[in-house]
Amino acid sequence: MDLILSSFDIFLRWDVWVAILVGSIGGVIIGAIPGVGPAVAIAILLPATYSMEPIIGITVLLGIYGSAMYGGAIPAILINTPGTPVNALTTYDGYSMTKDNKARRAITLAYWSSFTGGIFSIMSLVFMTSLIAKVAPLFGSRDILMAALLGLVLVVISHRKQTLIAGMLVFFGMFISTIGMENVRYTKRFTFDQSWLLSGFDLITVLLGLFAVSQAFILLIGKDKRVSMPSLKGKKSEGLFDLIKYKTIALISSGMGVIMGIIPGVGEFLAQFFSYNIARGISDKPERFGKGAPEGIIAAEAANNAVPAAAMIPLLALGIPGEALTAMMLSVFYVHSIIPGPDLFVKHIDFVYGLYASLILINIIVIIFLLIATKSLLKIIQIPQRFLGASILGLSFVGVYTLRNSMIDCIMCAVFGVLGYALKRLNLPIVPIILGMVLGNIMELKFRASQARIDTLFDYINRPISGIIFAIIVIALLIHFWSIWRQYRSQAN
Amino acid sequence: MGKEEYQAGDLVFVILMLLIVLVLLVSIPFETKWFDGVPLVKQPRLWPTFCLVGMALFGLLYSMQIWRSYKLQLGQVQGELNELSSWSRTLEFVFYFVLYVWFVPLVGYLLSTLLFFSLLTIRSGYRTLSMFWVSLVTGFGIVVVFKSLLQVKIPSGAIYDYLPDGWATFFMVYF
Repeated sequence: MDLILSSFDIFLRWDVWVAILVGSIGGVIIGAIPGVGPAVAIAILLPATYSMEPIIGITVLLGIYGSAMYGGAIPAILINTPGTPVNALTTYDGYSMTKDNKARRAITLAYWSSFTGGIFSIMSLVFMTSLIAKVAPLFGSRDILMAALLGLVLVVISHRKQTLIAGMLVFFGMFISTIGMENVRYTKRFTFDQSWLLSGFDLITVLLGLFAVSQAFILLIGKDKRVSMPSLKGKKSEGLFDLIKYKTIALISSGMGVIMGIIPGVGEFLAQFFSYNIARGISDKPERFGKGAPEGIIAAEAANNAVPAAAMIPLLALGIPGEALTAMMLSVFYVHSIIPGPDLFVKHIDFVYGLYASLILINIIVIIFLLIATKSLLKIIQIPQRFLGASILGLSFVGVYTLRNSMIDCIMCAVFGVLGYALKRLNLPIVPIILGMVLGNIMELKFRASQARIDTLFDYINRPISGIIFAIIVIALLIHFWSIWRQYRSQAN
Repeated sequence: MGKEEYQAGDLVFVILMLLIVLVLLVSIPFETKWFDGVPLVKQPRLWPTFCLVGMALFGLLYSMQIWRSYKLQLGQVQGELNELSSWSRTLEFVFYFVLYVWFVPLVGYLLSTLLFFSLLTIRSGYRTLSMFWVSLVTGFGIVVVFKSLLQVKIPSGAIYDYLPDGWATFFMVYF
């Protein structure tokens, strides 16, 4: 208890409060602008946070991560355009409610559902800390290798109908991480005698290219759209009453978000789709779903906002990011020599509790800000798209050039931008490349580190933890192939 | 989340990726080291080879899956080529971006950012004075936040050397 209370000392510092305010309010604004999203913002800000203290840098990024989805619900509900990709499901019922002149009710319901999901997830994280602190140190090289493999397998199979291309892109990301000087025998790999390739591709360069520069290209090449905002009528309390009425759905969806957040490689999409289906299954009026059901908004928003805090569990406990945004945060930890993993809960537990407290404050600030300032935010949604593209390109320069002041980094970032642009136009996933790059690197290190204790392939899975994770991988693959077989059979009939 | 049908560009994309993989696979003996007497699992060559083989395998399966739903017609081939040419539209902005990066050490972060934003504002088709001012203020704001306040690592412009001493130092530190 003393440790928890002492970790609150960080809130006596003004810079921590500034970080919380900038992260939370900035995240809401970024989320509310369709076409930006937290991935772009975090990728741009990442190098700037390197010069900050870890708790400050991480708080800013966590603020953006945790609050962007709150803001993303606004355009999803009002103009049928999700602010962030994970708010797509909110458009189904949210926009239908707007068309029925219930925009205010839908928006406040989305806010309170997001708040419930966020707080539920943080509380789960707090209560699980003692368990994580006991379990995490039991993870050895082989266990972490298997956990990273689980993440990669899940990120591939969670891309339904795109499994093959997701697999190819995961391997592409893994390959990128092998370029340069390898750090066991110090030999060059795929450097083609180019000195700039010796240090390999920096994660930030790839991230900025794939997420930010590609998005800038899309916005610059596209056309500005004129949007007309519906008026917000009704009482702010209506949404809260809806949430109280459907509290069971809010709790189930939040729980689903926590579970999906903990599992590496899964994330918000599956969390909200499962929650939405469960909510429809237990609803008295399932036919209303997609036509303005409040339960639909609760399921989508509570689930996707429960993911960020839960996604911190594999990152903090094992150093394994579950999706692109936590992969970005991993680099901030490394820059400050705070290595996420089993030791973090022993050596830096005050830091961990400080993060939890920051997360709670971020959610409280965001809900207060949104209840007061939604009308002002509506103006931000109307920023011209091409101007936004120019701004993102200008900001991307800061992100990539400040790494090493290298022209080649900027050119490579632009090349990855073109690749990201092609992927986005083809509706192909980008996240597998990032996770392949991060988890592939972890896997190779752990694979080579564990060689001293390996005689046969069976030795990789003969430890209790690695064995359980391997069993989960096998079960996940069996379920995946079974569902493909079932689909094939139903099509054949 | 998923795609029901393949769209124009899918095939050309996977073909391009497979060609890159092929070149990389051929380069393995020249671009990675093999140590005699060292077990396979400890070879630095193993991991990149595993990744490339994985890429090739998934890429081939994906291209076969696309091919099955394709009908080789002139329209579809044209669609693939149109998509390829649409990707090349980004090259214009890549050029502006690289030009911007090249300009920063010469004329400084502030001036190059203002020029870059002005250029993109005109290129985007905005012709009103108000939009022009908004873009300049945005560019200036970005420089102030990142260079003046956060002091990110961006070199000062060579042009600042021609300013009087006091001004040169001021611009080098803050802009």
